Amino acid sequence: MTAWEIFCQGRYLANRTKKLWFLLWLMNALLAAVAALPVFGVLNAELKNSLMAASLADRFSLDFAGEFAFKYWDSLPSALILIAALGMVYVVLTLLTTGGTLAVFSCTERRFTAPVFFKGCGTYFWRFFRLLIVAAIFYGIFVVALNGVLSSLVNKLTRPWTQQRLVLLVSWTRLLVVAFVFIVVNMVFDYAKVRLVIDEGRSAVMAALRSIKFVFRNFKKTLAVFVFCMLLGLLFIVIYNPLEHVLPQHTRRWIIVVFVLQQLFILARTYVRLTFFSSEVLLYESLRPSHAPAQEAPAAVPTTFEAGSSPSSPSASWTPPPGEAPAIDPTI
Amino acid sequence: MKKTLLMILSVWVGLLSAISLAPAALSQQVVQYQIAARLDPQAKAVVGSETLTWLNPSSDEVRELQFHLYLNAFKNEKSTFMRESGGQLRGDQAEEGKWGYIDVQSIKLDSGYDLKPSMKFLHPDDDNADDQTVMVATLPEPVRPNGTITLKIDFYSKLPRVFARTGYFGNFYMVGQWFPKIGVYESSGMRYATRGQWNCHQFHATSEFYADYGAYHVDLTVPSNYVVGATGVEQGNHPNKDGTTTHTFVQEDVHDFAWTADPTYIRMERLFDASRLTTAAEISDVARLVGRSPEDVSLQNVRMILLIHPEHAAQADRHFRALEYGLKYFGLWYGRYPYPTITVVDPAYKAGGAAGMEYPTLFTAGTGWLPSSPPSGLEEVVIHEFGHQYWYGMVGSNEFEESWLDEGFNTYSTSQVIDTAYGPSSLSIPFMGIPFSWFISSIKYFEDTVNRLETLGSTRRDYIVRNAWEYYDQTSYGVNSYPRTAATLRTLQHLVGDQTFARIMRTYFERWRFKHPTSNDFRAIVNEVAGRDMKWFFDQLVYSSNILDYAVDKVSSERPKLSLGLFDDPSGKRKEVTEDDRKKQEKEAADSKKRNDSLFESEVIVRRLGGVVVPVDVRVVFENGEQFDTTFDGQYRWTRYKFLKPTKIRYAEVDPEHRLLVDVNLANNSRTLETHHRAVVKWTSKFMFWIQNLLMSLMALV
Ligand SMILES: [Zn+2]
Repeated sequence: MTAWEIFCQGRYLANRTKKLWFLLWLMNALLAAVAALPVFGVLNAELKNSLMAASLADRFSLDFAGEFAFKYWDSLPSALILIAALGMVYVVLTLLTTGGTLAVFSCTERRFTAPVFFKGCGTYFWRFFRLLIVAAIFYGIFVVALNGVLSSLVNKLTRPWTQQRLVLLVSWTRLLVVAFVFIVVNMVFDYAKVRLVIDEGRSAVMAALRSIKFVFRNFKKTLAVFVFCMLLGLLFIVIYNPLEHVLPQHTRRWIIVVFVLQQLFILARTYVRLTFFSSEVLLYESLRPSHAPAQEAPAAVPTTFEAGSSPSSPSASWTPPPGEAPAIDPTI
Repeated sequence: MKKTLLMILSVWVGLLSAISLAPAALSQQVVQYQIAARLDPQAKAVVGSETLTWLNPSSDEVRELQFHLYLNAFKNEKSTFMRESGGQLRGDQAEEGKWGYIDVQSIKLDSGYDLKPSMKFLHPDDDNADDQTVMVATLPEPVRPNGTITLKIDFYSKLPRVFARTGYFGNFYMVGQWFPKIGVYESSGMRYATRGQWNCHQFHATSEFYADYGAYHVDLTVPSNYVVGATGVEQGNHPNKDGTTTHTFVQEDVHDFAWTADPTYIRMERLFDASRLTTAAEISDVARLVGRSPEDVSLQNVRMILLIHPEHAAQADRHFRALEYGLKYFGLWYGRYPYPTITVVDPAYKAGGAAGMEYPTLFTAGTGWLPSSPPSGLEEVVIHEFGHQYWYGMVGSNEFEESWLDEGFNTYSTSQVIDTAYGPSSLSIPFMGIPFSWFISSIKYFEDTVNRLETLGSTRRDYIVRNAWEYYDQTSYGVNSYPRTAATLRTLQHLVGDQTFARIMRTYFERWRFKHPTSNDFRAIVNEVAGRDMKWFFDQLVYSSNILDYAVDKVSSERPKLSLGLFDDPSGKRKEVTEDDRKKQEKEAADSKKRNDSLFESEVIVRRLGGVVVPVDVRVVFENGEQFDTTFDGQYRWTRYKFLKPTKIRYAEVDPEHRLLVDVNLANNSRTLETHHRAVVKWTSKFMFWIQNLLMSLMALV
């Protein structure tokens, strides 16, 4: 199967797990609401009886923002601690739900069911936790340290340069290199998670090392799937941002409309994240070393899939039912 | 060398005779500098010889001469400048091993008397015996009142790598504060002097300069491939046999001389054509505003010279346009720019320490390869540094002691020019050198907003007026000297009215150009032009660190309740009013038919939360559109207004015209009876959305 086919099927799988979307969205929204609550309280105290509220409802006010920042500057550390604490809770919840998500995408039915999801959450939590520590080391070495080293090299190299243009070009190149390495590390640890679930492995280090091998052995495909998913995310940003910009936001109705739009955007991001996982599961299944590549095993391809029915066995190249299958064209 | 000197001398004599034939000088020519300087690109140094004629402007006999040796600030870490700055200025780190200094190799009277044996360093501002930025030489005989003295000084100036205004980077040279420069002798009664004394401060991290006006004639010898720019008019240049060229610059009525050289400069020249760039209507409008004749207000042509690096050549138009706006509005509002030239220098990349600095008829701008859309930092720097031609350039206040008179006045004026010429600016936060204002239309703001916001944090630490090196810290110096002054002047403008303030500023410029005013002189002009004593304003907002904050503390509108108890009617009958009667009355009042007849007891409480006492306008607006305007004198901490009207209050507001720009809290300036949740919900949901996105991004990492 081509990377595009994998991506299309991944999208299809992600589409079918709406309960999962909702669950992940709810998790995100509830935590963010906890952070927003004190902000609501403070803004309400500042503005509920002020004329400034009227102008702020229409547009951003630098006067108010600056004043607000100045007044609450001392509260910034507590706010940051709260956000960091919420972030940590979110990380734990994500570790839990990722296990469930991958279990859903790799199970026989490839459909969200509570038992499969919650069993997955519990089963893989500690493995993913260990993997997170390994990932932190990798990100530390390959992204943060690399960025530091490259920065100082660039600084040293460009020190005598007298043209900003050249210095900026080199800096941008550095940024691209670091971004690319970041993507690779990110991919490696996504596949390490997939591997832990599908192959029922236990060692986080082994999973990471094998995942590196997997990613580089199939680099074109893994990268292509990643890029497709990323572009899907970009597409949502490109749709959302101008829309948010042109919509009026000064009446109650429009404020609600924009709020709904914002939540739809978060749902879309959730969908993109799920597409990452589902596509990666599909790609891993189709390419994993213990299985023959899909293209070489046409016999294993089931031709139909009916909603509600289960395919006889999880397949390395699962295909959506006719009519529901997305169009497939470019070949990677 | 001898031949060159002879030639210079003859040019100098010619020039002096020309001066005597020319119209009277604009300033009292206290100093006459004739300098011959040679750039040594290998040593990154300037070898110079200076003939200085100093006029004793006082009625005192002056027995010693004091000089600034500014470059010694960069000599070592023990200089006062380095101790105060920690080796840093404007975010630039001084490069280790790239020190700068100035050696006075010889100092003699024209009689040949050697002053060097009497030479020693002074440190009038602190006890730093290691500071060598002020030098004194004792004279064998005093200079008599209105007498002159001529000295010949040979010096060697080793330039630092650019980090604080002056120095080199590669082949770029910005040469400022580079020659032995005589201080200002202040006789008793001049400025704050109680007796005749030299005003010659050490070079501090936060201080700038102070000097007397005079004439400069400078010969600059540099390698022939270098493009040169300098204070004044280039009178000519001639190549020498050794591959160098000598450029001669002259200028009268200036108090400093700076120059720049770089082989990669592109030199452009355009004419500020006064008749093309100002209309008759504009001139008559301004003439009316400032109370002068159109002839007084009209401008003159100026040669604009731009020395720009090739990487920024595409931005030449923006530099010229900003400069034109500066020449136009400063000229119209305060008085015409009197010099024939103005030179804008675009510093080399990585020589940012030299950017944004002003010298007479020459200043440095500052831009990047990818500037934000106008008006951005580029325009702001050009207009601001040009503005210094007025504030400190022509109105020669003491930057060491009263930095608000130059930086603050100039921040005020710059803001007015930018807002008038360009309209609101866009907030632009560049990332990796890319200005995002290119892609997304960002937040627009006027300069008043920024000046006010920048003031919020540091008002409490210092008064506006203070010796530059004695502020709480560098931030406090910056805030008080720049935006706080701008916001304070704007507040003063609102209090006295636009026309009066325009006349105050014009009178201040006209009366004090080419002189050395103090804060008191400005205050006197405010009182004179405004026709009232504004001491209270200066005491509270300039010579104080108190904050200004008025708030509407309470707004209420309620129907009066029926009083309970026993009441005697005129016939002597006693009647009891009970809870039931009150309820009945309330029900009747709530009845829509009678609603219009019932009265509301309304109350507004205005509080002064800050220490600054200023009369403040108070406006109460009722639901039926009725408006009540009054003024709260602010003498006591609060005041209460009561109303009995058939309508409720909609809102109450202090300072409804936003005249008090220095009010630190605008959110509490108004209070509405109804609560508004739209803005709160909108911005809370936006905040929540940002957090949601942050969490989503975190998810991708886990
Ligand atoms: Zn300035």
